[in-house]
Amino acid sequence: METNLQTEMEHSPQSRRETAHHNEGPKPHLWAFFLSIVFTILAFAAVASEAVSTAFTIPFIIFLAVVQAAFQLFIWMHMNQKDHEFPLTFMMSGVFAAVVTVAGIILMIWW
Amino acid sequence: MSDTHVQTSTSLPPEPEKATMEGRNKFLGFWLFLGAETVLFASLFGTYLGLRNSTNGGPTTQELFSLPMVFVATVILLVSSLTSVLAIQAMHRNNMKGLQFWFGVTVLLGFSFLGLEIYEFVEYVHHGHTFTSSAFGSAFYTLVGFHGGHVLFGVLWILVLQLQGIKKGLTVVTAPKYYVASLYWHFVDLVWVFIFTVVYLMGKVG
Repeated sequence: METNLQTEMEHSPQSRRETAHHNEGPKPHLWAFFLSIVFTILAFAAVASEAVSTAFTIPFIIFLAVVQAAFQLFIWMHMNQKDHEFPLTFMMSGVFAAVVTVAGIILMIWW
Repeated sequence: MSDTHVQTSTSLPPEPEKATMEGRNKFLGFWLFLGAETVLFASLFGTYLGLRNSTNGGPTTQELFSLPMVFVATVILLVSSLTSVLAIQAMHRNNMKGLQFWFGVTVLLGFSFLGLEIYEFVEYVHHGHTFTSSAFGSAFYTLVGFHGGHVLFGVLWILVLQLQGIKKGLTVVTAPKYYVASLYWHFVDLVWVFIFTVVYLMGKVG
């Protein structure tokens, strides 16, 4: 009885840590990694092969890049977890300003 | 003294990076910084996209870039992003050895990426593609070099944190530093995803 209690006490912080982190296993991270590798290969293959037309390739590889960026932000940088309202706000504002900046600079140079 | 030390390390809270007000402030401030970095890199990307065909008679993007080398660099950085995730997971299990090991792998991969990039730049200079040779050259080296500077800062930062970790161990004071450094490393890889797409792949397409 006494030994039982002791083992329980010894293990309780560990098990509590695990319950708090049951969504923190390596699985989603390994999946994100695997898919990122696949998307990278797809992007390089689309450019290297002569069969794919330029008009299709550019939107396609930009789409793949955006998906990979989302993996980084939401899975590896944990933006999918709670308590990330401020990071989400900061990054959304950043991406909004980034799109306006890129479009603005390109239009200024090309016109 | 040693008794209290043992106690703090065994009773490390589940998310040690957010256990203190200082840790939470670091987390918040760092995300604000990353939002600003996004805009900073966007201005460099915009400039590059606008000027990438102004080669001033020098070599064009199609003539310069070699896809196999860029692919290797991309995979190196992607793997290093994964290893820094594994380091933070080790931290969440209160496993300082694992944290040090995976951060060590991250640093090694970061240095190999830098080595590859330096080799690439030297190669380009031999082809007459320099910072001052054309508007394309200036925009290219500013964007890619600025990212390389971030990689260099990242590896040195993580290396210093590792050295400090040997002395101080894993506490609620050091945990936010590791967490924030790994966020930075992911962001550097995120920027590279757009560099290999916009600069190298789109440069090959034309």
